Amino acid sequence: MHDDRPSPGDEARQDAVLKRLLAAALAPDLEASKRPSAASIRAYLVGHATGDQEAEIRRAMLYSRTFAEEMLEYLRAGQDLRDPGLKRRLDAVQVPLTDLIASAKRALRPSDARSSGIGEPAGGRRETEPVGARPNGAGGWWQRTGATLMDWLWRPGVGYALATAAVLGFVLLPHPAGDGKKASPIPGLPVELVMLATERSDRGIGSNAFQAVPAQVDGAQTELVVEQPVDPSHVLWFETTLDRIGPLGDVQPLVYLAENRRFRPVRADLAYPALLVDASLLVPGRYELTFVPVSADSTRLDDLTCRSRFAVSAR
Amino acid sequence: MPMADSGSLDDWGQSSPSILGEIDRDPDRALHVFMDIGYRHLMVSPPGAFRYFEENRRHDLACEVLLSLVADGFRRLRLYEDDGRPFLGWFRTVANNKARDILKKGNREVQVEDLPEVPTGTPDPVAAVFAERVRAIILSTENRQCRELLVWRLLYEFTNQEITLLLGEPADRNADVGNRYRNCRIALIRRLREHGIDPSDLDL
Repeated sequence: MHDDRPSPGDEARQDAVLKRLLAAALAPDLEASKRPSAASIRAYLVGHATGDQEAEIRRAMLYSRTFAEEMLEYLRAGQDLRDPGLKRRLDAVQVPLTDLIASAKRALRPSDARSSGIGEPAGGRRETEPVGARPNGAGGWWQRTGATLMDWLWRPGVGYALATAAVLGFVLLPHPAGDGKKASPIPGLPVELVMLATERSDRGIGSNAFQAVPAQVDGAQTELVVEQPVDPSHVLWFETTLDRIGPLGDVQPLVYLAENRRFRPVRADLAYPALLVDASLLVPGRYELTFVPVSADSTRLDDLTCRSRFAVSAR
Repeated sequence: MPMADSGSLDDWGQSSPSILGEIDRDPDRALHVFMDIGYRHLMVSPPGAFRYFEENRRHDLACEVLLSLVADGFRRLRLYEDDGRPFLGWFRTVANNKARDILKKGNREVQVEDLPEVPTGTPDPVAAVFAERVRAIILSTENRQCRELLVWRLLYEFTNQEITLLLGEPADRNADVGNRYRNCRIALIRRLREHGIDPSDLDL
């Protein structure tokens, strides 16, 4: 009789192959997924989801690891809160509270410390040095910008699957065509933008998020904004490329701007890179948008390169 | 519903925990309570991504997570928004994401694979045809749960316990979930072999 059971070594190798095959099989479905409604998420977490809501959640958990992990952590939280033995286990933990509080107070900037009421002697350290943790590398404005970025990234469910990712908020906006008068609608639209992944070189992080952004494109031009913050006093322009990715991975260049000076201001020291494109370019398909920041002395800041992939589909 | 004491984990089970209000009223107390409860919880019930770290690094990791939330006048903690779900879930998700971030940027020896990226570069028609065949085989799986089990175990690296939780099944069914996964795995390999694709022979 033929034995299908592999040896442990074979099984690990098979798993690695199966993993890659599954990944390849899943890829085309990412763009069809959307974040479920808040009502469905809440209902699923408390076990009261309807059949449709359950199907919606399960599909999202299948096609987004970020979303599946978010759901898992909420489900675990519920499990912990119901666990009668948890309090005893929590009480048994020895907390290095003195060290933690001292480190936390060092992490407060003096200005914020004053406003929060937590004191820090003048001239105290400004940079966070976590207890026993490794330093984060070189500091500077890009690090502060990165910290700001992470503020947003770590909000679960913000925009969509917020978490590890870079921003998910691709924005497709109607753009007035001259004198505030809008141009004729583009045939084939409205479309839906779906973020597939965003990553920035210095953080090495990426997103599997898939926020769908319904968009009524009724202008001749459309502004694509990637919510990756940069400091506009240090970044003067972006070398920007927009490519369409063909079904076989072939790359078709659509836009190349050596000096794209378009920003979406967020506040005085923060802005998002943006690209103004002809809306007619955004036919259904997959795209890759890359912003390479360039500093005042014309240095390419490759470490801060932001690369975003998204899909456009007809609604 | 009575308000839970801000010094208890029950408070974190609320969607609008009282500890957040204390940040402005009594920041010293808020800091103590947050660090105390947060540390205990992360050590007793670590988020999923903590598993990629050695046991002896979990203390550092917990500290890094907590400090990142309270730094700059509780800046990140203030970003929390009540969406009707328990604050504890948000806290765990943030900690999980922070752990993944640390893994990716600082712990290169640990490989955490993400979902597939959009292929770029020179197209390979042979590979594309092969991928399409495999996709058709995998998607032909009639059992929807099999697809979920395979993806969650192989791609997302969830444990049987975690999958049981995701499925909303009782915790004592995790062995059954493991058996179901193994059956799905065997069925997939058989189906691939029927189409002339043997995972043991592939070198991907």
